[in-house]
Amino acid sequence: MIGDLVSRPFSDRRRSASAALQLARAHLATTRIAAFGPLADGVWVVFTLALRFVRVLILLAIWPTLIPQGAVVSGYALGAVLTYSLIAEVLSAQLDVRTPIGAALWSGAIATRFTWPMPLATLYTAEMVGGWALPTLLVAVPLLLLAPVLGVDPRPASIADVPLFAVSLVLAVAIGVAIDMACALLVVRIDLGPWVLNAARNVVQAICSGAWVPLALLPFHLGAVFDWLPFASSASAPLRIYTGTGDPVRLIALQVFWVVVLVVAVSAAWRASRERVALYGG
Amino acid sequence: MAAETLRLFGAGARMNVIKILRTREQALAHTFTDFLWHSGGMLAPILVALRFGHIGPWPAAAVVFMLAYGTVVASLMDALGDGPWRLSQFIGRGQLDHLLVQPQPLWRILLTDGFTPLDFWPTLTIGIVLLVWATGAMQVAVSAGWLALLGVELLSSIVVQTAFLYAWGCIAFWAPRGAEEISSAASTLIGEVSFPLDPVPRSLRILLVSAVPSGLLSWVPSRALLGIGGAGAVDTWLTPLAAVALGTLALLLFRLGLRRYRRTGSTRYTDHVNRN
Repeated sequence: MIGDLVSRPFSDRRRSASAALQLARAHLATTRIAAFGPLADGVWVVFTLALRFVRVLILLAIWPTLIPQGAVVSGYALGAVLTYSLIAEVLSAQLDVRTPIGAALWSGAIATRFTWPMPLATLYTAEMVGGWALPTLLVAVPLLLLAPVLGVDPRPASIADVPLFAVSLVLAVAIGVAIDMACALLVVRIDLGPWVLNAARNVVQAICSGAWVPLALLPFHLGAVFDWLPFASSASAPLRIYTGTGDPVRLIALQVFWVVVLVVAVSAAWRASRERVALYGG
Repeated sequence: MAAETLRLFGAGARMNVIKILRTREQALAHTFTDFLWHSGGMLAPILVALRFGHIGPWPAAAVVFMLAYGTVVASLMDALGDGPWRLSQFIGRGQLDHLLVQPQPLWRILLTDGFTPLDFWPTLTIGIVLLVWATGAMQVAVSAGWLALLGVELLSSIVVQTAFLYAWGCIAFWAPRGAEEISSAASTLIGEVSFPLDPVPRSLRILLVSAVPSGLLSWVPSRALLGIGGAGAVDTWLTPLAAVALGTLALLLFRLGLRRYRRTGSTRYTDHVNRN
C-alpha cells in the first residue's frame, strides 16, 4: 500500500490515504464497540473472569508439589514454571485466539458482515481485540499486580529479550488468527458445527500448545514433537522467550515459517471456499 | 408412581434412539464432541501426573481415579438431561407454563425431561474403564461396603451439582432477565476442578467445597474412597451431607419461587405487554 501511495499522482495518493485512514477508523470503531460487548449481559461477566483466578491459583499451588525449590526439571526451575503459568493466564486470550467468525458462520450473523466495507479477517480480528479489553483490565492487570503476593516473580528472565518476546507475541496472535480462520473454513467446507471444533481445539490447546503446561514437562517426550507444531508457535514460543527457557531466534524463526505457511494456505483456501458459505441462522 | 416415572424415562430413551437414527451424522458429531470435551479435560492433568508420578500426596493412579470419577458424574448428569442448566431459561422465559400444563407432577417432568442415555455412553464408558483400572492400580480392597460408598458418593455428587444449578436457576423467579447469565456463570464455576486440591491454600479449598462446591464433584469423594492424605470421616460424609443441605436449600428456593410464579408468571416480557 505504501509503494502504491508513492508511485501514484498526488490526488490519487490523497484518495488512497483517506481510504486507508477510513479503514483504520472503521477497525478502531469495531474494536471500541466490541470492548463493551461483555458488559451487554450485565456484571455477571465477573463470575466468568473470577474463574480464571481460581484456575491460576490452583496451578500455582500445584507446581511446588512437583518441582522442589532449587531443582530443575527439563530446563524449568520452580520460579520459571510459576512465572510461565502466571503469564500464560495473563495472556490467555492472546495465546488462545478465538475470533467470533466460526459462531457467526453458523448463526448467520456473518451475512451482514459481508456488507461492511472491511476485509472479513481483519474485521473479526478487530472484534476479537476489543473483546480483550475487559479481561485485561479485570484479570490480567490484577494478576500482575498480585503476583508478588502469590509468590511469583512476574518479570521476564531477561530485559534484553523483551523486544523479542513482543515480536513473538505478535507472531503468536497472527498464527492464532490463521488457525481460527482455518477452523472457520472447516465450518464452511464440511458443515462442522463450531462447538465440535471448539471441543477439538480445547483439547489441542490444553495439550499441544503449551499454554497450560510447559511442553517440556509432558511425559513420553511428547513436548519434543509438539514443539514443531503451529499450536506451540501460537502459545509456548512467547512464554518460553519470556521465561528464558528457549532459544528466541529458533522460536521466532519457526513462528515466521508458520505465519507464512498458514497465511498463504488459509488465504488460498478461503478464496476457494468463499462462494460455498451457506447461512443458516435463526 | 415409580412405574410412571420409569415409563417416562423409557420414552426419553426411545426418542433418543429415534433422534440418533434420523440424524446419524449430527448425532455422531455430538457424541464425538462430548467425548472429546470430557476426555480432553482429563488428559492434560493425567499427563502431568504421569510425568511426575504424583500430584501432591496423590499418586498418578489416584489422579486418574479422581478424574474418572468426575467424568462418570458429568456423563450421568448429561444423560439425565440439561434441565438443571436450563432451569433459569424455563422460568425466566415463561416456559415453565409448558411444564405446568402437562398431566404429570412437576417433579416428574423435571426429573425425566431430556433423558438421553445413549448420547453419552462413550464418555461414561471411558470414565468407568478408567475408574476400574485406577481402583486396581491403587490396590483398593473392593468390598460390598466400598461399592456402596462409591454409589452413595456418586449419587451425592450428582445431587450437589443438580442442587447448586437449581439454586442459582431459581433466581429467575425474581430476576427473569439476569438469571440466565447468573446461572450460566455459576455452572461454569462449578465445573472447573481437574487437579487434586490438597496443595491449594486453605481458604480457596474451603470456597471450593462450600460456596462453589466443585471439590465435591470429584476431589473429596475420591479422597474418601481411596483414603488419601489422611482422609477420614469428614471426607466420607462431607459430600452426602452437602447433598442433603444443598438439596434442601434448592427445594426451598424452588417452592418459594414457584409460589410467586403462580401469582405473577414470568415478568420478563411485561414491558412488551405479552409474550404471545
